[in-house]
Amino acid sequence: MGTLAVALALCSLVAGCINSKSSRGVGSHVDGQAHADFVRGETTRKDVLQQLGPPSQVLSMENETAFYYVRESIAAKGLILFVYNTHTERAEYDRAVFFFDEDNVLTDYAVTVHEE
Amino acid sequence: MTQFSVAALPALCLAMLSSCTTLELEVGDEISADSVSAFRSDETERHEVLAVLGAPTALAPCAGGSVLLYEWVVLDEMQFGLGLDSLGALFGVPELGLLKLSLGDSDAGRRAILFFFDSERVMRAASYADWTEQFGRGGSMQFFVSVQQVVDSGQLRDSLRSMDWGAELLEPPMALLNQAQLPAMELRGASAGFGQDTLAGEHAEEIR
Repeated sequence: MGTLAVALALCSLVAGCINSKSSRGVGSHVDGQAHADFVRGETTRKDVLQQLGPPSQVLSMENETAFYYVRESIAAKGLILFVYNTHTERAEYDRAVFFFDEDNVLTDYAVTVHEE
Repeated sequence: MTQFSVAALPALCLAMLSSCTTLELEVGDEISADSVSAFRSDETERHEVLAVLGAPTALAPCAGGSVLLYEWVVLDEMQFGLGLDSLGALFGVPELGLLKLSLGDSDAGRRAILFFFDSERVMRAASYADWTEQFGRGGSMQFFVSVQQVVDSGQLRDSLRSMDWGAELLEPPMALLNQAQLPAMELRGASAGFGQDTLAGEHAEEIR
C-alpha cells in the first residue's frame, strides 16, 4: 500500500483543473425578452434597430432584407489527473434573425438565446 | 485484482509517464430527425420553422427564395500519451523524461438540416443528415502535463462567417471581386479547393 500512497501523492501534486469562458460578437441587447414587443406585420426595421442596435450581418434577399445578430460564447473546462485527463469545450451562439419585406415591415423572426 | 496489482497499476503508469486524455468539442445546438419531420413541403411556412427551431446557424438567399441551415457538431478526440523517460535513460538524455509522445484519434459527429423556402416563404424542400466521420489522426511531442489537441480540427472550430462580416471588404481584389459568387453558406469543413471557392483562388481560405 505504500507504493499506492506514493503514487497517489505524486498524482495529486500534478493534478489541476481548467475553467474558461469567452465571448465575442454583437447582440448584447439580444436576450430572451428582446423580441417581446415585436409583432410580425407591424414592427418595422427601425423598431428593431432602435431596440437591438446594429446587426452582425445584413443580408439582401430577393425581396427581403434580413438582420442577423450573433454572439459567440465558448466555455471550456478540464481536469488534469496526470494518468487521465479530460477537456470539454462548448461553443454556443446566441443569435437572432429578423426578416423585413420591401416596406421595411417585419415578416418573420426568431431569437435563440442560451442561459448563462 | 490482488492488492499488489492495485498498487502496481498507478505506479507502473507513473513510471512510464503514460496517460490517456479525452477532448470534446461541441458546436451549436443539438438537432435531430424529429426537428424536420414535423414540417411539410409546400405547406409549412418559414415562421413556423423559426418558431420551433429558433434562429438558424446560417441563412442565404437563393434563386426564388431563401435557405436556412441548422448545424450541430460534436468532435471527440482520444489521446494516448507515453512518457519518454525510458528513452532518455537509454540515450543518456534525462531531459527527455519531461516530454511525452501523444497520439490522437478524432471522430466528428455531425448533423445538419437545410430548408428551402420560396419567395412566398413557403417551405419547398428540407433535408436532414446525420453522420459520423473519422476526422483525423495525429501525433505530437509535448510537455508531460500539457493537454492539447493533436488532430487539427480548425475546420470545424471556425466561427460563423457572420462574425467576420465587414472585414471581407478589406480582402485582396481577387477575393473581393468574387465574393458575390462565393457560397454564402456551406457546411463546416467544406473544401476550399472545389466549387465556387476556387474563384477566389489562393484567397478562398482567407475569406472563410
